[in-house]
Amino acid sequence: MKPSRYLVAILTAATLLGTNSTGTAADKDAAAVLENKVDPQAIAILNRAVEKLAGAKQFSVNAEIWSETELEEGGRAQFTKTVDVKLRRPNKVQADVKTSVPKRSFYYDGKHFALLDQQKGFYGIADAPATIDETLAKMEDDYGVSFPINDLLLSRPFGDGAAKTKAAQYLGIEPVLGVLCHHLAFQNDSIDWQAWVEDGPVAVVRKVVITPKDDGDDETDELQTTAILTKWDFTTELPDYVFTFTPPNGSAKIEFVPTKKADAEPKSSK
Amino acid sequence: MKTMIHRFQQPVALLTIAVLAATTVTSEAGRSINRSVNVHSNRNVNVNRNRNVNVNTNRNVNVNSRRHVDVDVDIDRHHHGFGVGVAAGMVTGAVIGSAVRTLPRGCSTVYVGSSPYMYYGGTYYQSSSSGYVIVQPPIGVIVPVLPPGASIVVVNGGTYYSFNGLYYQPVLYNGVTQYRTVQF
Repeated sequence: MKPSRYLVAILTAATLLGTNSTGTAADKDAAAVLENKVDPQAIAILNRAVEKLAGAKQFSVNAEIWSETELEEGGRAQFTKTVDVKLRRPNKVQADVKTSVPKRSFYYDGKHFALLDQQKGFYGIADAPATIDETLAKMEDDYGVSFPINDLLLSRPFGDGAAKTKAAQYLGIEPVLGVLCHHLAFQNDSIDWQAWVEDGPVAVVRKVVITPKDDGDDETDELQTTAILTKWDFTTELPDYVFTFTPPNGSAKIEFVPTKKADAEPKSSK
Repeated sequence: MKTMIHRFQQPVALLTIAVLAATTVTSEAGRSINRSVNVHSNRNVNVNRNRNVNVNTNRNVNVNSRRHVDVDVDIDRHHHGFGVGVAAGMVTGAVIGSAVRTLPRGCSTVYVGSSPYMYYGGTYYQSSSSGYVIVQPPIGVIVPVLPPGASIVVVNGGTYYSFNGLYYQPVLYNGVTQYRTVQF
C-alpha cells in the first residue's frame, strides 16, 4: 500500500527532530493516521443498533437473505430464503427457514436444540449449552449447522466485527424498503461488510451485506450475502412454548451426526 | 439381533425424495461477520474441512463443495428437468472394478476419513491412473442424496433406504438430512 502524504510528512518530521522521543511521537501520529480510517460516526451509529439489540430482552425479526451461488457453468446467481427468528435472552431461539416452501426449523429452549427437516420429516435433538452465544458456536463447530447473519442473535450483535475493523466509513442516508437508514461500511481482514441502521429513535438494522475478500485461493470464489431485515418486533410476548420443539405427526427422529465425529472416526471401506 | 425388514414399493415418492434431497451443503462461513473476523481464532481448519467433506449434489447447480453454496436452494424449482435427469441416471450398470474416463456430471466428493470418493447415484468412484474406477460402496460414508430408486425399508423400527443390497440411514449432517451407508 502506498503511504499517505501525511504519513510521509510525519515520518520525515520525526527523522528531522531526532531519535529519542520523536520515535514515539511518530508512532503515535502514524497510529492516529491509521485510526482516522475508522470513522467514529460509523462506529457510533453501529453501536446504536448493537445496543438496541443487546439491550432487548426479546425480539422477533424476518430476514430475507440473498446469497450468491456459483453455478456449475461458471456464472453466479442469487438465491433467496427467509428466516423468521424469535429470540428471548439469554437462552431461547426459534427460527424457521423457508424458500418457496418450509425448509428447516430450529428450536433452542435453553437445554436442547432441535433441528427439523421440514421437507423430509426428520428431526434431530442434541444437548445445548446454557446461552445463545455458546449454542450458536456449538451448533456450527460440532454439527455444521449455521444460519447466515446469525451475528444479530449474539449477546453482542456483530461480535468483534466493529472492534476488529481496519477501516469504517459513514456513507450517508439511504432508504431500505423506503425506510431511511444510515449506510455504514466496514473493512476487516477477511471480509468487507455494510450495515444500514434505521435513522430514528428505534435504531434497528435494516440491511446487512457481507462480501468475503479474495483469499488468494483461485479455487474458491468470494460470494456475497445480503440480508434485508423487516418486521422487527420487540414487544409481542414470546412465551416458553414458542421455543419448545414438538415433533410433528409422522416425523421421525434421526441421529444428529457431529461433523467432528464423522471426520475423526472413519470406517474403512469394505 | 433380530432384524425385521419391510419393503415398500413407492417409485413415485422415491423420485420425489431424490429430487428434494438434491440440496447443496456447505459451511456458511463468510456469511457471519463475527466468525469471519475471528477466523484465525476459530475454525479456519474447521471451515476448510467442512467444505471438503461436504458435498454437493446437484446436477444442474454447482458441484464444487468448497464454494459457498446454500443448503436451502430450491433445486427442484429452479432447475426444471432435474428429475428427468435423475431418472435417466438411475440404471448405471455399475460394475465394480470397471474404469471410466470421466465422471458423471453432478458427482459429489465424499470422504471416508481422508479418502475421497466420487459419488453419483449409488455408484462410488476412486481416481486411478487411467481415470476413475468404480469401487465397492464404503460403509459409514455420508452421501448427500439417495441413489435414485432406493426403496424405503423399516429395520427394527428405524427408517432406512435400500439400494443394491446396501442400506442408507438418514442422519442430520451439516444441518441437513443426508444418508449414511450401513450394513446389517
